[in-house]
Amino acid sequence: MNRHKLTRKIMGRLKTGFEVLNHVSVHRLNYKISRNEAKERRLELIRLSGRQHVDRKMMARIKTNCIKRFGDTSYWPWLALYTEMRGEFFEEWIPVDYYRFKLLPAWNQLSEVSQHKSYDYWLFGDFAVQPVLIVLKGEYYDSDFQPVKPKRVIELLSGAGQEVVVKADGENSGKGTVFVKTSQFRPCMLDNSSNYVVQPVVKQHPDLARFSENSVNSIRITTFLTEDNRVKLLHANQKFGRGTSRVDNLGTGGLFVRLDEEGRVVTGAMGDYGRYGEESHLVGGFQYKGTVIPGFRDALEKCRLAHRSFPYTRIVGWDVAIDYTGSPKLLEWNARRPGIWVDEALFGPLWEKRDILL
Amino acid sequence: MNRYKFLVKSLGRTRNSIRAINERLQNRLNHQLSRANAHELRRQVVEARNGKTIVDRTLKNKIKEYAAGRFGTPDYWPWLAYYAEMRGEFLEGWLPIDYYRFHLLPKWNQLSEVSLYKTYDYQLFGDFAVKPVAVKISGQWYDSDYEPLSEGHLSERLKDYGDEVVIKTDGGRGGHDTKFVATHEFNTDQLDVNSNYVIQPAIKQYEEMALFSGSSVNTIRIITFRTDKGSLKPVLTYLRFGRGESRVDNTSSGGLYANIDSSGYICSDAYRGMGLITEEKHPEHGFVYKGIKIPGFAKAVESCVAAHKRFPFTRIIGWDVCVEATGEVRLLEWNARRPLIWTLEPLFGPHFNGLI
Repeated sequence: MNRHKLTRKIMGRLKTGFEVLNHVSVHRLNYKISRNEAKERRLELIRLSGRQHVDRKMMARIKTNCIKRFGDTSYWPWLALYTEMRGEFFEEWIPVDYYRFKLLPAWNQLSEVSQHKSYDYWLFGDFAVQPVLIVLKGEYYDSDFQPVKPKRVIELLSGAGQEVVVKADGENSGKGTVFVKTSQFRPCMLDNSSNYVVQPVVKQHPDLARFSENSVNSIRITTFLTEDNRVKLLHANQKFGRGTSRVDNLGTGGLFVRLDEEGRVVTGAMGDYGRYGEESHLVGGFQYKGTVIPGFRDALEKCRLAHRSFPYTRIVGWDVAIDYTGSPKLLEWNARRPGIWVDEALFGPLWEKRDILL
Repeated sequence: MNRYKFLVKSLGRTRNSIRAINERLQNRLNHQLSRANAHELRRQVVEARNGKTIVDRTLKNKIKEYAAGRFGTPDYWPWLAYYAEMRGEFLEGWLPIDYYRFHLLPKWNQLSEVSLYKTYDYQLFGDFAVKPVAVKISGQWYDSDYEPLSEGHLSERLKDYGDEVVIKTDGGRGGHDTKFVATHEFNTDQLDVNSNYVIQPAIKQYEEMALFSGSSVNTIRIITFRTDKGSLKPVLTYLRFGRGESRVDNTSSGGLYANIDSSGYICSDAYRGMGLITEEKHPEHGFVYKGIKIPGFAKAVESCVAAHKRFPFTRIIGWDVCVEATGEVRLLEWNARRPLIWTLEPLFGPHFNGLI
């Protein structure tokens, strides 16, 4: 074997070796981080509520269940957190670490696509908000991906009302989203190594503005492609902001109510860990329970159709706004890591046994 | 800060550091590996030419100086030296593969893994792609519009598609993982449960294209590139055809290739492998390659540029297009991950001069 062939062989083996080492160590750390996050959240919840449901006996039960279902006791931390949140333990729950590191990689292919908000309109047509502009690494396009010259950029912006929303690809949950006055929009505001979608601000349905008029309040619909090829509604929540917040995410102080398949609110408003349990709206005074979300059935149908058009991912979280005409508009979709733990804990188990067979 | 919060933070930092270290190591090793490949290829060229080399000390220094000025470091010299050895002279403007793959492509091409999903081609490019008989995604069968299909319906459908169908696997490249199956022998049990598949009707190619090889579907490879000014242009165009009984036209399966000029005429001999073996005439039919007009070429270029516009996340895409018996051009496969240029760049390049 000559020198170059030998170098290639050694380098190739080193490369594979480092790749495996990296994969194994990152995989292990992912589990550790996730489990410590669950433990930290559990401590915080106990501190906030002043109650603890998981005693020694319950912990033993959870661990026995872990061995039976996952072959290992180490999956207990998320199940213990769920138990603290719900006040009781359910054997069919799926812990977040199992969901994220075992199920999701097997379930969701091509999930990176959902990180590209700039592609949503092309993928889902009018269910998505028609962009004013799409910016790919400093190059401007219209909603049909036709290149746009600087003069046309100004024309398109001026036709989009007083304010636009600028969303960065790769960001979720309201991060990387800014509201900009169209007259103040400057291309230099955007990073030339990133992608953006510039959208008109969605004027929401008055019934939804009652929840909070400062934020666009979205419905989170999570759909799941079952083994027998049905697109099933896994859970649906109406999210809304609080106070002056422009976004409705839990992480920024937002609240949510759970919806049934008809779009009827079936719980009080909840915040982090499903706490607060506010029965009626602080400002509007209306009872949450029984309120029907306008356009919900249409939104659910559109999510089902959208999921059908992208069958590479078995689970997708859809954030949908209902505009002032009652029409559902997709704000963002998440196929990479749709959040499930709050709903799994409070309203789960969300999956049937056969769904999670790998 | 409580114990768990501290652990989450410190473990998170450790994970990010491991990722960063691995990324750096991989990047270095990738460069080294690629350069070792270039050295080995150059050695093979010199060996094939009975030890005759044109890259002497003076030329090597000139190449290194050029690489330092053009790419910021002389380390990019090995591929340029290989190109010079192949061509018999050194040309400025050539793009070394290590610079292209590890420096430019990650910046140029986003979402490039989509091109690995052949099951998605028809959704993306409509009738420019071959309309599938059926696709299998995540264990489920669908028709071309992603309407669910039972296995019973699938067997029924197959009867309408003649004697043979083509089965391609998502993620498969270069003709590998492409199978030709007799429709009456098709059995879903033969397919891997964890893979995605697209079943396509077998292509009947244009008569003149079949002259190059009647066994393989011969394709036009077009590489389109989006310039800094935003316009799309074809930077490389060449014909690929199989040899002998081979059903595919890939170089790795013994196929040949010949350069096509912008008017659609073959403007070179046919090459095999890395380009050391050439032939002027077709061994069976005796026609000279140079000067032959490729049918449907203009339409193929136009269709590839239009398709690239539909997927603007990548600046460079390689398209494999065939010409059907009816004269229609049809996309067989596209590659946005690593469009191949290394065999062509020394023979017919530089292709990116003034574009980067």
